[in-house]
Amino acid sequence: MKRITPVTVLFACGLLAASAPLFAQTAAPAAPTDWFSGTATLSLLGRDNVDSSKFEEYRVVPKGVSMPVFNFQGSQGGKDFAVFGQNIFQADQRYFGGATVGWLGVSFDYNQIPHNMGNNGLTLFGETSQGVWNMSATLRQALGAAAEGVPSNQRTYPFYQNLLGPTIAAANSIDISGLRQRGNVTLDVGKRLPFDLSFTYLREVKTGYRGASGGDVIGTVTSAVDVGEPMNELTTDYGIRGAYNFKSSNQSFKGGNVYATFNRNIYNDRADSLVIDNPFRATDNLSSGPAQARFSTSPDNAANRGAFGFMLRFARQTRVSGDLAFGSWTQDAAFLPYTINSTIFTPAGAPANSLSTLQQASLNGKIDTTSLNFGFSSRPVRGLGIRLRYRSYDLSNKTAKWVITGDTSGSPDRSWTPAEPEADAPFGYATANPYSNNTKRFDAQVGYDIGDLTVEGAFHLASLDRTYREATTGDDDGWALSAVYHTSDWLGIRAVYDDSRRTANGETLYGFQADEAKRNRTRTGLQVELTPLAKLGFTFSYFRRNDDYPDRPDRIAVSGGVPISGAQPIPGTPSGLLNAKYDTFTVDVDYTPSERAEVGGFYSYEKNASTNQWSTTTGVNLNNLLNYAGSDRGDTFGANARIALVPDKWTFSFLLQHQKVDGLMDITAREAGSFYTPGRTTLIPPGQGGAADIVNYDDTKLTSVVGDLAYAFAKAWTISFGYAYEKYTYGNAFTDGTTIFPQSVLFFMKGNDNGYNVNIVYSRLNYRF
Amino acid sequence: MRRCLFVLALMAVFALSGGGGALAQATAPPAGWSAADCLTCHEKVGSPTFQHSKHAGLTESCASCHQNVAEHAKAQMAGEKGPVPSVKALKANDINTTCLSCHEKDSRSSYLSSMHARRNVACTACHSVHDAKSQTAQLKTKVAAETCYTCHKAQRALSMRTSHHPVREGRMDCTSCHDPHEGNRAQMLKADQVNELCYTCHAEKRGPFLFEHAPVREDCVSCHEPHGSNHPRLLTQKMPNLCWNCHFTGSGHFGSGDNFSTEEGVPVAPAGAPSGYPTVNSRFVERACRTCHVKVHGSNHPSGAFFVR
Repeated sequence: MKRITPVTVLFACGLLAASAPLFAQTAAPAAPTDWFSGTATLSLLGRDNVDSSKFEEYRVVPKGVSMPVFNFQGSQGGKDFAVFGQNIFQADQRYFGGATVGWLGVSFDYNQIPHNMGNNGLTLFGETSQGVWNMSATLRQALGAAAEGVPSNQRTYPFYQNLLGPTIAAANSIDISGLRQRGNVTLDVGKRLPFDLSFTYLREVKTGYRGASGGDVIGTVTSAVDVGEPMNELTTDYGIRGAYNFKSSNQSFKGGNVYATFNRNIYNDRADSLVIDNPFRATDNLSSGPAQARFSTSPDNAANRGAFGFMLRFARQTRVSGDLAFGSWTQDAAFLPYTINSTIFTPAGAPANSLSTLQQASLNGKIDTTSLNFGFSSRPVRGLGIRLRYRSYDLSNKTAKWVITGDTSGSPDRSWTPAEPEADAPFGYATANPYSNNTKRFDAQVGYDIGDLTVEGAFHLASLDRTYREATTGDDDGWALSAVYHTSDWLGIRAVYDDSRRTANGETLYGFQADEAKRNRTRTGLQVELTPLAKLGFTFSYFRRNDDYPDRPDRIAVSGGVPISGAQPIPGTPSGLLNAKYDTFTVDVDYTPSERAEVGGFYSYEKNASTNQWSTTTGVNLNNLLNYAGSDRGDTFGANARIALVPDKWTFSFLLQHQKVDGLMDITAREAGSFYTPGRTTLIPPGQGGAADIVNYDDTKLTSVVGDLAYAFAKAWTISFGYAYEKYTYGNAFTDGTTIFPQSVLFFMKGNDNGYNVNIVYSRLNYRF
Repeated sequence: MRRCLFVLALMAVFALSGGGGALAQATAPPAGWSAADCLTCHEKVGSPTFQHSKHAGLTESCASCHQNVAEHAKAQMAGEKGPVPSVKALKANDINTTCLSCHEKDSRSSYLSSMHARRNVACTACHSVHDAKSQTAQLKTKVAAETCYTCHKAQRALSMRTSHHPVREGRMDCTSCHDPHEGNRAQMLKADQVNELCYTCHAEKRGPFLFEHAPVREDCVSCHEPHGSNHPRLLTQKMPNLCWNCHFTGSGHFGSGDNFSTEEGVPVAPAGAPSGYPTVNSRFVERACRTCHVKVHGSNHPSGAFFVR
């Protein structure tokens, strides 16, 4: 089926203006050996002001004059070159291209990606140095005295609203924004060598704020604080790849290739920590809490990877391939002290805020990975295809862990707590375990062509092994059937059904966690392409993925994280993730009535749903059983057209895309249960602590419309005029209406990444040389 | 005149070669023969895009890919039907064999084992030799994502969701993560395992960490939907429900039930409201669990056992 090229949203990277000629070219005479061509586009744009960062989340839509496209390419004296530039000198600029000069080939790509995650957020703090957020000590003392001066049951939302109102009104403004600058270069020095040899270099710098971060500051008044997490990161990657391609004139063996690669990747975080003043204390205290909280950032780390592989070609499309890779990840960044609170001491009397108190100065962490892939494919007789594949991936955490004797994890920056090693937490905490895993998988597929129909049967066997997790072993076996039917032009059908079963074996008290638990997964797909006329085509697609988690554990009554004496699993109370599924179908239409017009449209329906279940107990008896069925329904449609009003002169282009996603959290509760008042025996009505659906659950609407009229007024010149409109809305019951703090003392920045609508007009001048 | 000279040249070739019968691919066009000869009839395929590509400069020109070129020309001149060298008429496997005769190396070495090949996707389903629209890779569309969306409709809709990788903005592409020719790796990823792929841009998550979050170490996709989601940070579910998939036992937060939210709450309960009237639950708003458990990907802080530091 002929597929038209829909008009992309032009503000992303100016593709609309960078177009190749619209329709089929008249044939040119044989091109000369040397040639040179290029495109330059200037844009003049006006638009509404937009407060929400969502409009320019990953892009820049500049007012005034800009150059969305500039590129040139050509060949001269046997030297080829090409340079493509997008959004020249903007924050989202990109340049890529390459050149081949005799024995040397060079390619490069430099890409800047803005990350705008919330404009005009409010913060009580000022960032006095990278990652250090401070407030006036006098103000902190006053707020603390006012809060600690009333009984805790009187520190209500209205109390804090009244206390903090003046401070919030004078809050600073912050844009939660970052920038990723990523550049890579490849040097190919094997053009005139009997083998391929290339070197790669990548450098990426990330600056700004990663997003909302921060955390809790525990004390007499416990608050949780949102601040921007500093981002000052550098990643470099060096690589080398060599390959030898060989041919054979033998009838059976036709040659192949062998290759080897090595990469070293180094990550450096130049922002070592995040420090936030306690809004309610200016001095450290053991029982009342710290004056500051300090959070770790990402530790510096490095990774090496070496691999070698081969591919051999034989007769009858027989291929044998394999590759083996070894990786090593290391991390040895210096630890921060246990706490920033100067009043906390270890049982031995040492200050917990001193580096000298640490059991180890750093982790000296190491993870080794081993990957093995082996493949065989062949068409031994016409119409028959056989494929076999074996994959193994092993991740071994080789870090030499030590038994942690104590820290301030239990009450961060407030008190020292000893660590208590257990059978499943021999190093003090379960999270200190050096988790490792290994996956082995074998796939076999056999396909056979029956005329225009290809049918395939497949099965796979996989084994899963883990250390320090509850499900230490498991399998993931399955089978699949597929059929592909394709006549010459007018009908194509693809259908697939896939069924796999994952098992989990090991010891667990409360049940395996969802990512390792028993799971039954089915996937069903169907795609039909109809081209009844050369100018008209339809595509219908359907896909469904269903994950069931059977045998989820029934609830056991616990106290303090351990089962209550005499408690038994309560029948009919499966807990955790029970089911997750995704359904979608799409209809596409493409119509090309003539060489002068292309029209297309599509509609997609999606339904995402997942169900998890909770229960609470009173003593050893069931109290509440809560079922949370979260879902969203997506309706997406698009239409596009490109019409040559006057061939090679006037061209009209149009794009419309709209997506509406309706989220829902369907909550049901056990009728005899209670939530806040033990002993109730009737269903509590909504509005009084009962159970009611949340209908505003990450709901969005996004509409984009672009209309463009272009006029080619000279052989190499085109001017276009356009209008675009974009509207985005977002709604979520749990955040709608909340201000900087909804209750307790939660200081959220509330950066604006919400709805917007914007009108854009532009003119573009394009020169093709 | 030019057309006649071409036909005469072809006839001379036939005569000298013993003529007749089907000409095998091995019969090279006469010296001096070039694509321009085919272009005398097939004007439209000689676009500047093609003329400036490596394909235009191949030794056997059009005959490098199209079979029975000389026979076709001879038959057309004679007013007979003759063979039709169109690649479109070939089955997918035959098209792939043609292209792979030159391009079966590097990442395309395993194409014949790939899911695309298994589903009879021909090279020409995505690539165009004569009328490429993209700036690299000779695709039929301007950007790779549009090519992928011709079959992968679900990913087109997912890419429009509010939390997404910057594919629709043109900052990334499907090929940033997937190699459409890959036949050995799962999901056609450009790495041995999904986490290793994610670390190529998110190296800050690689660790290892003093305190590890086990499902994170195993698979990023346990919690994230990389193609697009309506929940923050590409999460598959909104917090805290996502965390409840695994953390459903009695702990300090969820043992008593006083941290559930069973309906939309208000900041302050109205005067006279009964005990338990739903107010906004701190575990559900904004960053939810991550309000305090900020280091869910792992913590290197000596007091970070519960990821709060």
